[in-house]
Amino acid sequence: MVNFVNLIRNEWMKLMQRKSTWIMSIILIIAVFSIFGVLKWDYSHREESVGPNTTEQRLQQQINTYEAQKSEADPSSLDYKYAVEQIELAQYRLDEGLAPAEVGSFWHVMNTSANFFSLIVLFVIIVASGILAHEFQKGTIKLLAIRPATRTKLLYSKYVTVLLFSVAIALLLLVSSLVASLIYFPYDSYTHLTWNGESVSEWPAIFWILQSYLYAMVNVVVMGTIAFVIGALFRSSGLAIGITMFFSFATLPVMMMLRKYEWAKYILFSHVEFSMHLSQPFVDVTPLFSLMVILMYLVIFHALMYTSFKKRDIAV
Amino acid sequence: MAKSVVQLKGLRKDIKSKTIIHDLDLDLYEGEVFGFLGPNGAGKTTTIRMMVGLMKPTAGNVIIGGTSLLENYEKTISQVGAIVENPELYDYMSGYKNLIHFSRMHKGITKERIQEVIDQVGLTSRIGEKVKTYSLGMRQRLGLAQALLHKPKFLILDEPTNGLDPAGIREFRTYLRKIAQEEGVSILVSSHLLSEIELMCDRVGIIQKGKLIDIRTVKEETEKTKWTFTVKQPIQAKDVLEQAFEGVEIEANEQSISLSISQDEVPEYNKVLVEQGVLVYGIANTKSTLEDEFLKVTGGEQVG
Repeated sequence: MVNFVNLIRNEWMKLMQRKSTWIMSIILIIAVFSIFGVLKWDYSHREESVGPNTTEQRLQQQINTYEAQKSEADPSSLDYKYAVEQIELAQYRLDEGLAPAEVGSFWHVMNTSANFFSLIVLFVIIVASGILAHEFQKGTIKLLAIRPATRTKLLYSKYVTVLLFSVAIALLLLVSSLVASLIYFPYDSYTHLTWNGESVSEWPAIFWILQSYLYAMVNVVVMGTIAFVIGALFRSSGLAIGITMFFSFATLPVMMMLRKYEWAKYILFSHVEFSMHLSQPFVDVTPLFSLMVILMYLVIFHALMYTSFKKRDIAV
Repeated sequence: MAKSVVQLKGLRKDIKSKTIIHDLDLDLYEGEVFGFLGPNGAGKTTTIRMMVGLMKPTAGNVIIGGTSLLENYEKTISQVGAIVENPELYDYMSGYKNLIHFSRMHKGITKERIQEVIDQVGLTSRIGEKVKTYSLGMRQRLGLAQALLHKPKFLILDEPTNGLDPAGIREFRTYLRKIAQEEGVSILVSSHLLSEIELMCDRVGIIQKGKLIDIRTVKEETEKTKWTFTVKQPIQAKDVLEQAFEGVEIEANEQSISLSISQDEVPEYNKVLVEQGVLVYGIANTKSTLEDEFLKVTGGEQVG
């Protein structure tokens, strides 16, 4: 009976009325400005590196390095493919006169801003853990649940709000990084290149940034969902934050430990660091395969949470 | 009697193979204030939770305004307004934002309606302040406001006068009676203050160990109860009254007389006695109060 959009408006209002939401946003902005400031200081004090100092020389050196790697690698290996890609891209830049993003240039710094996603993951875990659990801990769930809105709608209005918050805080990161980079670093035009195995394509620089952000968002959504599900199952925000943070920290070690096994590619741990698909390929899986595995796990988590939340009595 | 708004049909709740509520049957009527009494742990709150869908009954059904809560949840619950235990509101938001929040969850609640309810519960001057600055009594008023927003047919109030001062309680009582009578709302009030239930309610149900053991109508002021007049001359008083009022049975004791009359008649009797020169030292109502009856029924257990 009740408009689902109204429920989301309510959740958003409650989130915005909480002090913690604003504190997190301010911390993010301060972090961006101060770390970019440190980067600027660092780049301006760096010793002039020994070696080639024109762009062409550097690209040529890069080609030589990867040629050497290519000749040593087995042609079916990932290293070989990676070397070929790097050679093609560097050659294209030389031919077309397209400069790479120099360290300390505007777009280079913008791309490093994706590293702040570790902070965003933390904030989204905090919000997702509390959004339902707080209603139980404070007892407000009673007045919320006795309305003409089914429990399914209540639950999913909160989940959608967590997703909206993730997008909003990622946009905040994008905007504050843009502003900080414009203030601190010289603007340089840059064209991003990709290699699909046969040819090189050119992309506007902003696509490069958005791609890094989108890939990083996968991790945010997975961690946010885990926190939300645990918060809904145990109705305690502290527990949800704790367990999800543990998951988050355990990801890399577990992934390293298990990567030698064939079945490791079917477990969630191998895929939550989705951004790895952007750097040197880590495991022998495609981004699409990663997304399918992640989706499968998310569906299982949702099914667990949904059945539990619908069935259990509210006795707080 | 008016038509019934709420019907509990064979409502039962088992928790871990223990029966908490035993096949409860109850009808609540339009315009009626029903009191729900019982010692701690008797199952009052569990019953209320089942009536608002927070808990699923093991067996039985809750019918409100003709529709079943279990089969047609959204339609049925839209006719209910409730405070379950403490009015726990979002204390980091203002009272007004809290009401906006709940109004969005019902259909067709206008800003004017919200303002009307705020005025009715007497929160007009503080509604813009954060709920964390409110006293318990103010939270109780805000709790009542959120329960009334959508003009429910059935109002459930769990311990509603908790935290209200005496003036507030009196005001609240008048207000409840008013909405019950004028808007035909059926109201269920649970309270541990028996004297209050007595003043507020038309009928009282006593629940013990998950069973509804007694339902009784609260005595009206026109009903005859036993009154004791402490007088100097009991024999003379008896004669005077027997002459003045026909068919009254009067029992004369050493220091007093006892008779069964309604509260309305007391002043007249007193007037006659005084006019005839009988010295009246005191008049007391010796009807057994609901509390006595309640304690009798529940065997004197501690009342929550």
